[in-house]
Amino acid sequence: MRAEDLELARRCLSGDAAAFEDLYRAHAGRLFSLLTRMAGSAQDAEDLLQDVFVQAHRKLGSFRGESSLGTWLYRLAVNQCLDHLRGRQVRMARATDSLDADDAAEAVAPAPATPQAIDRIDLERAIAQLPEGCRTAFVLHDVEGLEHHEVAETLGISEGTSKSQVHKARTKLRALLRARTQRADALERV
Amino acid sequence: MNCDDFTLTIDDYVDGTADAADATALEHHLSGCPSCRSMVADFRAIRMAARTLPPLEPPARVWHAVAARIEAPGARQATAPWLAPSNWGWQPLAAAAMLAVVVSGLTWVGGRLGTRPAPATASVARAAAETGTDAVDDFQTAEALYADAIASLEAETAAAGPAALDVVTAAALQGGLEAIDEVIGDTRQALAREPDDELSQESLLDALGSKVALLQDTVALIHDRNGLDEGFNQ
Repeated sequence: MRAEDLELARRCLSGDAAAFEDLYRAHAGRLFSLLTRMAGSAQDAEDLLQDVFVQAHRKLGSFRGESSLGTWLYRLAVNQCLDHLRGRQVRMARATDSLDADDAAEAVAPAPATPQAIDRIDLERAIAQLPEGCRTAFVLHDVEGLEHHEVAETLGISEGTSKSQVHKARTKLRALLRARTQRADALERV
Repeated sequence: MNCDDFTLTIDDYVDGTADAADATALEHHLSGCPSCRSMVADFRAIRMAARTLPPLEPPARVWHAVAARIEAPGARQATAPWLAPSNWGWQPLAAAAMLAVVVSGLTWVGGRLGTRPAPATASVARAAAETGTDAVDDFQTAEALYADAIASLEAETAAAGPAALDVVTAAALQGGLEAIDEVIGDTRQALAREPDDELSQESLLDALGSKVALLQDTVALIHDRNGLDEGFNQ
């Protein structure tokens, strides 16, 4: 696999446009999924995906095959997205604060059972509504399947912080999904 | 111990990473606490749903933008991933359906044409179309003829300049051409993978024929407008 990756990277570096397109086709779906969920916006994810592959095109010379091309691109994408989120956090500090302030209200929300089979579209929407800090930890841990120590390393936080962020995200998702279920039930009764 | 003491243990328990002592203590607590039982069930459902979320596919325009930014030759033949032949067997049908939409959407342009003498290059294009669809079995020859006709017609429209048509008509024609080009790109990609696929070959020739027809219409509209302008000036 590594040999194939190195060969593909070599072809890309030699200016083989078809090879670079092959690289894009092989990895764009997974990276787009990651970026959409981490950024909470498909529009932002499109821009980020562009940036990731343009950056990959520039940096392919530094690929040494120590990890797979997929892992290398994955790291580029996560870093690109985190840079984007940090910039956005600075710009939207007030909005983020107001989202965090909602936690107290949700903690005392009524508690009908969350449906065991969660609608995927509802879940995607709810993930997009999470505050950025806990959303990135949740996406990396629960969606992408990274262990807490890997999430911590990726995000530059402690393992304990990763755990508390994932807990916060699950609690908030639970409240969002319950609220959605309650609304649907109320509509059915009408 | 109360519920707050188990806050993070519940997550470890759901993840299957709680140590034995913590798990036993939590299970003892859960047996008498419906609220925490509900939380465990919900967290499990969320975790399960999150793990099985389907992949999302980026729109085709992302690759176009990447290709433009890195100046990759041949990038214009990109396809949307969900149309890639490796994933779907019905791409030629999708291409044909898309063409049908494009052509029907452009009928109003045709309605504006009426009957008029065909421009010189149109005869070349028509010959290519007839040759490509009726007389020549050789797919590559037909494709080459279409390509020549398209090049001639595009040269003629380019020579007329961007102001040759009114903005609305030009935008409609341009939109149609871009949609056809996308279909051409998709079918070429399908053929790159399966060169002998007859359905893809037919789709490509159909798309090229549609492009020739639309360029013919464009040239005819330009001639039409030039004639009107001359009459107005006189």
